[in-house]
Amino acid sequence: MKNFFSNIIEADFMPHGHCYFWRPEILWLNVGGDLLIALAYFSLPLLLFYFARKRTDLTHRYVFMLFAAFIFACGTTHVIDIWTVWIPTYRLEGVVKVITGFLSVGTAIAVYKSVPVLLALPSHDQLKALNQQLQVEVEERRKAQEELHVVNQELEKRVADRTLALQLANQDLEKEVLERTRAQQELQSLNHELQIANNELDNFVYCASHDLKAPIINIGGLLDVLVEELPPVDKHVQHVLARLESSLKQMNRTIHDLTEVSLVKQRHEISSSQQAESFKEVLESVQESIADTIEQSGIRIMTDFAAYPAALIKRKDLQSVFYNLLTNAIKYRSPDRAAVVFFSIKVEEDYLVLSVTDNGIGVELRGNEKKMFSLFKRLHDHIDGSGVGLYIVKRIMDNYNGLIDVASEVGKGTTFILRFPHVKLRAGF
Amino acid sequence: MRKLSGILLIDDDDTTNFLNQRLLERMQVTDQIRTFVNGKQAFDYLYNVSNNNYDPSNANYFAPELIFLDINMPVMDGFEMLELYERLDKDFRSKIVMTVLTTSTHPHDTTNSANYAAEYLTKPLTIEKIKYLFEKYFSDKPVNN
Repeated sequence: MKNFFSNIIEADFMPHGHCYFWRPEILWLNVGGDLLIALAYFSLPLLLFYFARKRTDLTHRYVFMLFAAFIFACGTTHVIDIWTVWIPTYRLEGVVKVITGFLSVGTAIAVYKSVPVLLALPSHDQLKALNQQLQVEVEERRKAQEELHVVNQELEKRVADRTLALQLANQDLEKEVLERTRAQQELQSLNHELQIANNELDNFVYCASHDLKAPIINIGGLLDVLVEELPPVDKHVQHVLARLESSLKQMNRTIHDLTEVSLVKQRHEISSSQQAESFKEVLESVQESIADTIEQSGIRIMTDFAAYPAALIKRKDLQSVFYNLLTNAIKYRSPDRAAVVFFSIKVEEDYLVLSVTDNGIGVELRGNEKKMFSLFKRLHDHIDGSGVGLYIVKRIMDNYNGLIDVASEVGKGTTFILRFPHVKLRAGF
Repeated sequence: MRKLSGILLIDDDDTTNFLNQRLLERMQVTDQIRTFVNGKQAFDYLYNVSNNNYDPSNANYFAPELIFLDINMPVMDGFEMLELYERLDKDFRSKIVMTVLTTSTHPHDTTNSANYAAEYLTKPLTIEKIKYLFEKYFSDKPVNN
């Protein structure tokens, strides 16, 4: 082995030319072929090198390099073949061939390993087709985008249109709201003025009746004094004095009623005591205050307050209601039968209902219900009254946001129905 | 009824004063009655009496036991006078029954009166009302009637 390598360039065999018998046509044909192959095999690696260096995107550069080395080695074997025609260094030739063989096997293995990857590498045609497809797709996308753009613009325009319409509608609405607010304000201000006027009227009525009260009281006192101071008088003078007294009484009552009317609202507003009043008890207090009148009239008073024995109605209001309705029943009792008046309470869904029914002379209503509750309006002229009582009841009902109705039949009697809003009167028991 | 040391009538209406004075005189509840036509006059009088700033020999000056006070009066009305009256000597006031006597039934006046230690009566003044006052305030003393 040591000999082999030390004699590697020893030409101690027969030159290869002998195999060709030095016949020039065979020798030069082989040498020429080898030379051409060698030239080609030496130039190819250069081209491969050049290609591999220029193509920076190559994924298998080392395969190209192996190819270049392997082809270069192959070229060398052909050069050695030419060489050994004349100089028989077959040891060197063997070494060169072994090296070339290793390089070839290595390259083959490398190529074998790279085959799947190289197969996956798209070909130019494939790439072209792909590219075309891509371009088509790009074009399609572009068109789609354009269409989208158009749709988008349309949408934007529509949105803008709608927004404008909405804004206009909004403006209209705002205008309307403003108008309504103004109208409401006007209404409120009118209402306020009306309330003021109403209060002023109440005040005026109060002041007028109050200012009249003092001189009338004085006239009454002076009349008493006059009667006392006068010497015995004859019938005529007595008659005049009696008339004077009766006129004074009537005046007093009117003024008293007027004062009551003007105070209904103030009393309602000023007194804040909110305690449940018993219907029975308040009615009894009213009966006591006019016991004489009741006795004279012989009226029978019946009650049924069991459904709701007490409510948050101010005592004065309740007294006033009972007083006016009771005196009304007495005043308009029938001379043909024993007078009866029936007070009762029942509960409706929204209202507490107080009914007062008498068996009096009744009255032909025919649309006079409203008139019945007006100030100084009287439906009977043969019975004296100031025409204030029912008006006071009506005003009290107004203060409670309540309702008052009347039903009547001539010769049978009259029923007053007072409805108090229920929620406001819920007493704590 | 026993006789009171004196009664004041405070009202701007002469006729009212005349009638009330006549009624009280006829009932013989006192020998001394003075009338004033506004709160100022009456207060000045009470102020002097409460400070003993008067001549005892003058029959026109006396410490009253009962006062009738009108509300609506010129110069100084009843409530203004009550306001001042409450600042007078407490002992002096304790011997006086203050009565508001008015035609007013206005809730404003009735609630206002409740703020003062005063009786509230509506006009006209009658025998019944005077009897009521005497039974309520002067019955603990022997009645000279």
